[in-house]
Amino acid sequence: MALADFLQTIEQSAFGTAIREGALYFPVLESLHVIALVSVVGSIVAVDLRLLGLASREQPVTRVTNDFLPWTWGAFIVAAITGLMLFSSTPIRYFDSTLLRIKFFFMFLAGVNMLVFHFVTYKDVQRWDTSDVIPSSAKLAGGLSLLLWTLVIFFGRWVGFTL
Amino acid sequence: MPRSDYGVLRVQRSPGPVSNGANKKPVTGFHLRPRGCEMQSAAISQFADWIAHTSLSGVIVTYEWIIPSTQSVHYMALAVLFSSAAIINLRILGLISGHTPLTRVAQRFAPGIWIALVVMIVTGLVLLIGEPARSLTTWEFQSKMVMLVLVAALTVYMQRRIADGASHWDVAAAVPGTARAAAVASLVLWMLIIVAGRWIAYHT
Repeated sequence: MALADFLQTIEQSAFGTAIREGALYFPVLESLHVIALVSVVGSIVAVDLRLLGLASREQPVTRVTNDFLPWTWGAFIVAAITGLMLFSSTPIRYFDSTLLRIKFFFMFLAGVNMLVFHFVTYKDVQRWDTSDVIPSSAKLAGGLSLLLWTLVIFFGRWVGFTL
Repeated sequence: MPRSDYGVLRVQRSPGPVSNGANKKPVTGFHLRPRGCEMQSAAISQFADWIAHTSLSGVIVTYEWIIPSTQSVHYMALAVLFSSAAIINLRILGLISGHTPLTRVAQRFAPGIWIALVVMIVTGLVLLIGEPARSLTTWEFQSKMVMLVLVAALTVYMQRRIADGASHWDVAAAVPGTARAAAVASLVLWMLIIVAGRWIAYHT
């Protein structure tokens, strides 16, 4: 009940109302959201392909992650802020959207995959940083990441057709 | 502001192809435009109408999952294309991958631009055939295509410059001003193309 009230408050706020009713806010925010999310996913794909041994093989794994992941996080912050602003236009409907929930479920799984990779697999990266043999746990992390982020894009795009 | 994506699944079709006779009458809506522009607009509308009545177009809009799925693949390819282009441009500006020579960064990421572009053109054609009027006849789509041609030409030019032994570009401080300007122009054009693409959905 408290949550429903909270969503209602956001929807009726001047901020939520402006994004919902303004002619430009929603498309502008959506455009920024797209630029940010393709930057997030594209930079992650570059790292995933290195983990899978399919690209950038002459580069150490740590160099690829150090080069690209700061940009991933910067873009992720922009995607999260613009996403929350889009959400605040019609929070009740978005909250009830099954497709949006599925999207966040896959984002959650992508986050778990990233944490496991970072805190377990990546711990001994020095041993395989420049090696031709990439541990299967790292390949699995790269493959899962590609799959999960593709699903996030699919369900995210689908939300736009239902609300 | 209507969420126009929703309308994609409920396409309004005109009752039949425009007959040639109809075009002989003055098109009142365009009376302020020069004659050439009027004829061009009519030709594009007619072409869009013809596509809309092909069986392929009918199939694309009959199955509700085709357009959202195709857009998702379009976006996945966009992620690869935009990031590949951004990495090369940011490397020219000295903002990313400073330890890696520019020529090597370009070798690694240039193919991503072109492979993803092919995927985007194919998926884009599916979207266009499904809803030709929504794209072909709108200024949003037309400006997107003009910018795409510009940025593609700019990208070819820059990749040739990089391959032509612009090895001194590898040191960020030595990058000529024109290369920096080209990198910024390329980044801005790609972002404007994304904005124009999203704007197509809001065309009224």
